[in-house]
Amino acid sequence: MRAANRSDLLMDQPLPHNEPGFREVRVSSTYRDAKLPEKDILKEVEQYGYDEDATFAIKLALEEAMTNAVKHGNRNDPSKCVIVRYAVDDHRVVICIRDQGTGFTPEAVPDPTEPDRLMLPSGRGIMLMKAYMDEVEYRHDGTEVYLVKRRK
Amino acid sequence: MSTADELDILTERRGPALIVSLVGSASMEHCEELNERLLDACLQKPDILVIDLSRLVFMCSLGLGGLVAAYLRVQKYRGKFAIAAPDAAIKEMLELTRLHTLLPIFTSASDAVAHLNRTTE
Repeated sequence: MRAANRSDLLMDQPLPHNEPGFREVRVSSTYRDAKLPEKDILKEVEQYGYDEDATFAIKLALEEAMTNAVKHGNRNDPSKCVIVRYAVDDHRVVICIRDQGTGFTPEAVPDPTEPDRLMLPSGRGIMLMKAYMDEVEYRHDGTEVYLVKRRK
Repeated sequence: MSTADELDILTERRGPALIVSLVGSASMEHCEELNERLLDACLQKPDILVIDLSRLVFMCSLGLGGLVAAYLRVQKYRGKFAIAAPDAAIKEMLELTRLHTLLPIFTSASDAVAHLNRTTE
């Protein structure tokens, strides 16, 4: 029953993320706290039987999005929080992560695979999210990222 | 023993080589320590620095950045650097980011040491 309700919700709606069926977690801007939602989300992913590749992709995208929220969005300010809303069902996993920063322009982020950027130690997070997730969309001037992974 | 969410960093000297083995998961909360430990390894200026990933199950982009920073430091003092035995998922990440074109990758730490030892002599 729970899965069917969530499935209807997720598949029929134009992807809002604050309605019933989505869980919300707020954490402070430290890497340790930013890790907390991951455990709950991956536990649900496992319960719904997503395969190893999908689980790796979701874990990686979550880590990259949370790192960006803590480091670039909230500038490692522990007084600021990161809000995570998520829902998992038989068809897909939806995660929205919002920070309290000033935002950014995703289109302006350079391609980290360009030869002259390969030797830079950072700048690969967005590229990895896009490579591993089915949908990656930035909203609210880049302060929120919306991630979807569909079951193959 | 590391679980999937922990990271152990082990170092071993093998002649001219320093092997740094990452065991577990190099996720965001571990990468500051990882980068510090890689910096420590580079400051020893071994002729050969090998990062053994054979027991690593996960790495985020902060970890990839640590590998790049270590590679650059070793290049700076004209040492040899290699990555050894990434699993399929981490190897795919290295390929997607095209870091496999920058960082030499070997099937094992022993192979890396043997190969780089020959080219050092």
